[in-house]
Amino acid sequence: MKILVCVKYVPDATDEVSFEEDQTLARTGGSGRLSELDEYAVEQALQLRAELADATVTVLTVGSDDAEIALRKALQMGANDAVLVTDPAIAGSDVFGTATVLASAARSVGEVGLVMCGMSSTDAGIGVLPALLADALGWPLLSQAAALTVDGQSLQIDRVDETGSRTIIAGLPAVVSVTDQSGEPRYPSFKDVLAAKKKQVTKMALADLGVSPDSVGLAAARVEVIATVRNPDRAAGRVIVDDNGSSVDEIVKFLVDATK
Amino acid sequence: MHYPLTSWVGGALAGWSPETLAGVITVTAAVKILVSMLWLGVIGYSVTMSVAWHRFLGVLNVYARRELDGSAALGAAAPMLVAGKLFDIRDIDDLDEDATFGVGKIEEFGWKSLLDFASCTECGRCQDLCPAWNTGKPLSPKLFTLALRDHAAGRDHSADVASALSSSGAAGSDSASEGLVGLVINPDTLWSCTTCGACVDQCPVDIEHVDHILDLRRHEVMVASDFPEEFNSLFANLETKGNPWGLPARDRMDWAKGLDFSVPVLGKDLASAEEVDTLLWVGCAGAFDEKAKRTTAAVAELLHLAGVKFAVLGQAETCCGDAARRAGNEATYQGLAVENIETFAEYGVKQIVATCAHCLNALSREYSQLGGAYRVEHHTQVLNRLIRAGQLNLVEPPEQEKVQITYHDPCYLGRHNQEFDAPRELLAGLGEADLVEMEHHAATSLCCGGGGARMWTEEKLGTRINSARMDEAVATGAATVATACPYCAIMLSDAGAARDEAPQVTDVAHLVLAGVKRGLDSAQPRKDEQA
Repeated sequence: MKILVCVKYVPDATDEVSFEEDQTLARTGGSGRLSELDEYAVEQALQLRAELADATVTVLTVGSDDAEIALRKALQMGANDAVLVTDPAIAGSDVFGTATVLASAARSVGEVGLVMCGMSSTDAGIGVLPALLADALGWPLLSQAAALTVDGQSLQIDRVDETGSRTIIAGLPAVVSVTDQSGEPRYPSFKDVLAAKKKQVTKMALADLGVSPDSVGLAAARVEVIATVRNPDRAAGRVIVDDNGSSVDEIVKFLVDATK
Repeated sequence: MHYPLTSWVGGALAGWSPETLAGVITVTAAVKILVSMLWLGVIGYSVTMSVAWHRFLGVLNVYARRELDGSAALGAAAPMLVAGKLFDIRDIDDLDEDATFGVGKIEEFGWKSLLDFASCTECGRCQDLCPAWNTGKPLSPKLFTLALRDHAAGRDHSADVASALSSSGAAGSDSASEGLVGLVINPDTLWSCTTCGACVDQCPVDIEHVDHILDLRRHEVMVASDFPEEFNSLFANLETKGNPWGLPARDRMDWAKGLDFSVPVLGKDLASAEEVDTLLWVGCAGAFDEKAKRTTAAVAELLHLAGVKFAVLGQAETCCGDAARRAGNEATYQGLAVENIETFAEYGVKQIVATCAHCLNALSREYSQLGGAYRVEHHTQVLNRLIRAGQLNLVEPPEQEKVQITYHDPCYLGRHNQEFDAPRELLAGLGEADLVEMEHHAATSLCCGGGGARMWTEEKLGTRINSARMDEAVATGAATVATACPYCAIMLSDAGAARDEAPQVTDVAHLVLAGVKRGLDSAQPRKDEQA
C-alpha cells in the first residue's frame, strides 16, 4: 500500500517575513523548512510502514523549487520517495487551489491507500486542507489523530481533545490528519542523511496532472487577503515597585483606567 | 665484617657441609625459577589482569600516544576515520553505503584504543578527579576502561570490577542491544562525560579516555540515533539557525548596542580582515546570552581603549560547532566548521581573539583538521599582552574596595589549552594578595559541568557538578569568582542562584575593564585642583 504524506515548505518561525503588493508572501530563497507539524505526519507514516507488510511512504508537496528542501528532510527521516508539484501558474493559490492540485497529484501517484497530513501548517495555520483534500478525493477524513492503526482495509484513530478521547474507524482509502500529540518525530541519523541523497524526487507540472491553470493561482482564489498588518512590537510593561503595600493604590488606579 | 641484623642467618647455617649448602642453593633457585615461570604463565593466561600487564604495556602505550609531538590527547578531539580515511563532510559523495561511523562494536575500536584498555593500572587517579564520578554519576573513567578491557578480551569481569560496576549503576545490561552502549557501557555512563580531560591529564600510562567516549558517542548519534532527548533540539537549532539557542542570526550584533564607538563588520564596513589587527570572534554565547553579551562588550571596549583595530563577522558568524562535536555529531560539527572556514577565507582572516574557551579550542586546535589554520588567542591572553605592552593601564582598586577573588579555570582554556597564567596575572594586577585558590585549580581544576554538550542537557543523576564547584568557591571565602568562559559563567551563576548566599560570578574582562577605567578616571585632572 502506498502511504502519501502531504507536507508544506514554510518560512522559519523567527524569520522576517514581508508581503508583496498583491498580499502574497514574499518568498526569500532557501531559508524555509519542512513545517514542524508535518514532521509528526511523516513520523506516523514511517511507523505505520514498519507495521504493515509491503507499504511505502511517498511525500508530496506543492510549491516552488525551494520546497524540495522540505521533501529532502522527509526523505532523510526515511520516506521512500517524493513528488514536487511546481508550476508558475499555482503561485498565489489559496487553500482551495492547493487542495485541488494535491488531490490530482494523489490520483496521479496511484495506488494510494492512505493520505496523511499534519493538523495544520505553521505559517497560515488555517487547518482546513485535510478536509478539502478528503472532499476532493471523495474519501473519509479522520482528523486530529493522536494515534492510529491500520488493520487490513480498516483504519482506526484515537482523537484526544479537552472533552476526552474517542476512537473513530473508517475504511481505506482515507485521509488522516495527525496532531503533535502523536509522538516525537525521529532525528535522522547521518546514515539516513546519506541514504536520502539517492532517493528519487519526481517533479510534476499542472499539465502532467491535467489541472487547468484557470482553476488555481491568485486569480482563481476564493479567499481574498485584503491587508496584512504587522503586530506592533511588544512595549516594555510598566513596573510598579511595592514598598510595604504602596503599590495597591497604583495597581487599582491602573486597572480602573484600563477599563475606561 | 660484622652484619648485626642478618649475621644470625649465617650463624644458623654454620657447620653445614659445602655439598648441603650447594643443594640448598640449587633448591632455592629452582623454586624461585618455577614460581617466576608459574607467575608469568598466570599473567599470560590472565590477559585482563592489567595490574600486571601495564608493566609491559604501559611503556608501549605512552610511546603510542595519539599526538606525535608527545603532548596529551587534549584540546582537539581525535578526527573521525571512516574505513581508514579521514571523514570530511565535503567528500560525503565518495562515502561507501555501508560506511559506519564511530564505534558500535568492540571490533571497531582501533589498536591504540585496545592497547589503552589493556594498559590500565587500575590506580583510580582518573576517577578521583572525574567531576561526574564525584557527583554521583555512574561514570568512572577507570571502570569504563576496565569494562571495555574485559569485553575486548572476551572475558567476564573479575568480581571486584563487576561489583564496582553494578554498585555505581554503570553496569551494562543483557538487553536486546547488541552494541557496546547498552550491553557493556551503560548509556548514563556515556552521556555523563563533560570531556573535561582530567582523566587524560592524570593517567600515568596515558590512556586517552575522552577519545573512546567520543568514538561511542559518534556511533550513538550518527548511526543508532540513540542519544539524550535534549540533543534533538540542540542539533535542530544548530542545523537550522546556526546556534544552540535557536535564536535568529540577525540578533548577533545586539551586544554592540550601547557601545559609544562603532564596531566594524566584515562584509559591511570593510572588505578584508587585513585592514584590521584582529578579528573579534563573538561566539554564540557572546551574542545570545545576556551575561556573555556584556563580556563581549567589555572585551570590545578594552580593545578599543587599547587602540587595537578589530572587526567582527556579525551575522556571518555561525556556531563554532564544539557542542555538536562533543555530543558525537561529527557531521553537524563539520558542516558548521566548513561554513566558518569558508567565511574566514572570504575575508582573509588570519588572527582571531575569542572570548569563549570552547570557541578558542575549536578555532585554534580543531579547524586545522579541516584545512583552516589561524592564530587564535583567548581574550585573557590578549589583555595580558596589551597591559605588558603598556597599551592598557590597570589600576588596583583602593584598599577599602578590594575583595577576595578566586579564579575558576575553564577546562577548555586551562587543561585543554594549557593557559593557567594569563588570567591569574590579570587578576594579580588588581591586587596580588587577594587571589585565593580553590582546592582544585589549574591542571586539577574541577569542571563547571557545561562541557561535553552537557550544557544543553539536564543533570538528572547524583548532585550537580556546578554546585560542587560552587561549594569549593564558597569554601575559599572569596566574594568574587572570576572565570574566563561564558559556559563556566552561566553554570556557576546558576549554582550561585540556587544558594542563599553566593559569591559573585564575573568574567575576568569585567574586572580588567573596571581597573582600566579606574586608571583613566584618575588621569583626568580634578576640577578643584585647577581652580
